[in-house]
Amino acid sequence: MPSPQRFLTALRPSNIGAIYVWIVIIIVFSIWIPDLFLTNITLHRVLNEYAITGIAALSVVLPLAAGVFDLAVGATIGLSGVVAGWVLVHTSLPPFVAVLCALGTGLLVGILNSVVVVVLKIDSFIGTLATGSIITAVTLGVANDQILTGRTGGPFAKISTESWHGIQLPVIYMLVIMLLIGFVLEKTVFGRYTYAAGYNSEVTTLIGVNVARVRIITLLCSGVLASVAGVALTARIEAADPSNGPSYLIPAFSAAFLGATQFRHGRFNPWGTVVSVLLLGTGSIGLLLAGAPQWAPQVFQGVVLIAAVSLTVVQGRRKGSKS
Amino acid sequence: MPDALIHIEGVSKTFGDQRALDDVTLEIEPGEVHALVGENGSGKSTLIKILSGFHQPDKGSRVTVAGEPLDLGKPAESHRRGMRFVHQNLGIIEEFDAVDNMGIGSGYLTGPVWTVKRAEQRDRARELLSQIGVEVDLDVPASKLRPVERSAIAIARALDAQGGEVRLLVLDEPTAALPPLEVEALFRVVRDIAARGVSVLYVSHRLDEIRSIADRVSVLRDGRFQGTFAAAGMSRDDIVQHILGHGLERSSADEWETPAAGAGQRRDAGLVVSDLHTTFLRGLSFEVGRGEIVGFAGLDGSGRDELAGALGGAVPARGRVADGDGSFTERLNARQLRKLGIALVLPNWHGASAVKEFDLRENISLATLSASARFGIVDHGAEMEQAMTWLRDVDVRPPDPSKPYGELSGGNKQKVIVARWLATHPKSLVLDDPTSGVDIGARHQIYDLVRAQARRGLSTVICSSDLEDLVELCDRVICLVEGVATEELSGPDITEHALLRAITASTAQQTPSN
Repeated sequence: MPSPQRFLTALRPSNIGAIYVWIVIIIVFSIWIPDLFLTNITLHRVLNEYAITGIAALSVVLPLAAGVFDLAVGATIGLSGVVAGWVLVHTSLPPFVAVLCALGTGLLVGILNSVVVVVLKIDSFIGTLATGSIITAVTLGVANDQILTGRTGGPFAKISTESWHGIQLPVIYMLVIMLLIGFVLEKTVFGRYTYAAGYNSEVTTLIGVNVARVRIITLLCSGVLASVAGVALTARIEAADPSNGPSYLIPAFSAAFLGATQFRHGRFNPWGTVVSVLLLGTGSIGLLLAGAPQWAPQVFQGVVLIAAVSLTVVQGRRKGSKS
Repeated sequence: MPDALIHIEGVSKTFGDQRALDDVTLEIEPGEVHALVGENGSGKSTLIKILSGFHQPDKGSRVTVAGEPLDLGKPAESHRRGMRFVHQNLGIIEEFDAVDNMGIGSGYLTGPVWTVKRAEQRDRARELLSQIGVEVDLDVPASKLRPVERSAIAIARALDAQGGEVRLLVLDEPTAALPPLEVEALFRVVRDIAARGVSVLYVSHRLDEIRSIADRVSVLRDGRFQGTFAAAGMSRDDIVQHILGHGLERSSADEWETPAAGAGQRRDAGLVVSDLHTTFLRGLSFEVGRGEIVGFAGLDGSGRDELAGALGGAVPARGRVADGDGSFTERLNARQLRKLGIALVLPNWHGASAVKEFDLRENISLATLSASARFGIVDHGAEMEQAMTWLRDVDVRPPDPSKPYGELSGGNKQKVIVARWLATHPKSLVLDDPTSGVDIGARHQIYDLVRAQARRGLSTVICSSDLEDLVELCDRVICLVEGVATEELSGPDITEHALLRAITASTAQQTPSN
C-alpha cells in the first residue's frame, strides 16, 4: 500500500542519504567546472570506468548479506583475468574458452573459500584474507610476473569495449547482475534465508535451515561474479595485469557497506551498492577533471564513506534512543 | 541496634510507575551470613543494586555502614566503604588465567613504565586464593577450571583488601551453576570469610542451602520486607510460607476447565522423550499426551533451563525423542526435531528467538516460508495476509506487519514468536519461560493461546522459572532438581507452595519431609 506517508519516509535522508550526497556532488562540479563536467563524455566515463568496480561490489553483496566476508574478491578478479589472458596468449583456443576458464577459476576460488570458511569453520575475515593472499601468489605465478598481452585485444576485447551510444557492455553486465541479485534477495526464499543467516544464524538454524549451505552458495556466487569482473577488466584494458585485481577490494567493500545504508534500512542490497559506486565514481572523475592530484579520489572515497555511513547511523541512533 | 554493620532504612525504589522496593528496612551484623530470599521479581536484585550504587533509590531511603551514612547511587562510594559484589555470572574472562582474572578485577601490581610485575602478581593471586582456602591452577585459562574454582577466583578478587577494608561481601546466587559436590566447598569458603569478620549477604533460591549456611534469613515479597528470621529454627516450609505469603495461594483447581484434563486420565501420547542428557539433565524420560500441558519446574542449573532448548535443537543433547505416531529421532538437531512436528518457542529476550532486524511479517513467515513458496519464490501477498491474520489472532496492536520486530514490547515480541511457530501447525509446542519480560495483560493472553491450542490436541511442554505459569496452565508438573525428576504434581496439587518446596530441595534430602 504506497500511501503518501510511506513515500515521504522513503525519501528521508536516513534512507537515501547517498542520493542527496550524489546530487550535491553533481551540483558542486556543475558550478565549479561546468564546461568539463556537464558533458556526455563525463557520463560515459563514470559509467564505463566504474562498471567493473560495480560488478566487484555486487559480488560481495550476497556473502555480506549471509554474514560472511569475502576478502579474496580482489585477488579473484586478478586471477581470473590473468587466467583468461594466459589462455589467449599461450593457446590458440577461441576467446569464449578463455572466458569459460576464467569463470571456472572463479568457481574454484568459491569452492576453496567455502572449504576454509564453512567446512573448516575459520572466521571468514581471516580465512578469505588468507585465501586471497594465496590466490594473489598463484596469479603472479600464472602470469610469470608479467603483463600478458597478445590476443587480449581483438575479438576478445569486444566483451568490454563494444558500446551502444557510448555505453560499454560492462555497464550492461553490472545492471543485469544488480537485477539478478535484487531478485534473489528480495523475491526468493533463498534470499530471505540469506538475510536471516546474516542477521542471526542461530534463529535460522532453529528454523531448520542449513546455514552452511546458504553461505557456501553465496561464496560460490561471489567467486563467479568476481571472475566476471576479472574477464571484463582484462578485455577492457586489452591486457592481463596480475597486479590489477587487488585494488578493487577496498572500493568494492566501501560501496557495499555504503549501499547497505541506502534504501533497505541497513540490509546489504544491490540497488544501494550500484548507486554508491556511481556516486564514488562521479566524485572521483569530477575531481580529476577539475585538475585535482591523482590521490584526491581516494581521499574523497574515504571521506564519503565515513560521512554517508555516519549520517545514517547517527540518525538511526537518535531514533533508537527516543523509543 | 547500634552494633549492626549495615542499616538499611526505609529504602524504596520506583521504576516508572512500578514500585520495585517499598520501604525496606533490614540490618546486617558484622561477621554474619545473612541470606536474602524471595521470588523472581520480589526486589532482591534491586536491593543489591542499590547497595552497589548502581541504582539511586527514591528520596528518604537511608543506608548506614558502620554508623556512618552511605552516599547512595555512587558505585565508587559503595566500594570505598567496603562493599564487594560477586554476581551470578562472576565476570570472569574465559581465556584469561586466574592471575589475569584477578589482575583485571582488582588492579595489577606494576613496575616503572606500567609494566605488569608478573611474578608478584602471581604470588598475590596465590596468596588471596589460599586465604579463602581453594587451590587453583594458576596456569590454565579460566574456561578449563572447575565451577567452584571459578567462583573462588571471583570471590578472592572481591576480597582483595588493596582497595580498602572489606566489610560486606554480597554473593548473588553463587551456587546456581555449581554441581552439588562443589557447593559444600563453596560453603567452607563462605564460613571462613564470615569467621574473619566480613559479613556475607547471600542471595539464593536454594532454601535447603540457606538453612545450612545462613545465620539469619530476610525475606522480600513484592518489594516489601517480610522480616528477618533466625535460620536455625526454620523449616523449608516456613521459609516458603514467608516467600509466598498467606492468602495468596493459587491453585490451578480454580480454573479447572475441561473434564478431559482430569488427573489420571489416559491419553494417546503426542511426545515421548527418553533418557535425555544435557550438561545438567541426567537421563530424563517423560511422555506428553495429546492435548496435555506438562510443565517443568526447577531452579537455574536444575536442567529446567536446558530442557526446552534440547527439545528444539538449541541446546546440545543426547537421547531419544518420538512423536505419538512411531516416528522418532536420536539426532537431536533442529531439522530432525522439526520433522517430528516440535516447535520451540524461546523466551523473547533470548538471542535465538527472532531476527530483530526483520519486520513482523518476515519474523512470522520465517518457519513457513519454504512451504508456502512456489519454485522458491516468496508469495508476498500470501505472506502479508498470513502476518495480518496471526497478528490479529494473537492480538498484537497495532497489527502492522511492516513494523520492525525490535521496536515491540516484550509481550508483543513473545506473541510474534508464538505466532511464527503456531503457523507451522506443530504437533508439539515447547515453551521456554514464555512470560518473562511480558506484561500482565499479554501474559494472560499467552495463557489463553496456549490453552486453546492444547484443546485442539497439541502436546505442550512448558519449562518456566515463573511458577505462576505452571500453576495457571499445567495438567501435570514435573519438578527437576540437579538434573533429575524428583517429584510430579498434577491437577489441584499444583500450587506455587508445593512447587517451590519441591524445587528448592536438594537431592540428598529427597525423602518427603514434613
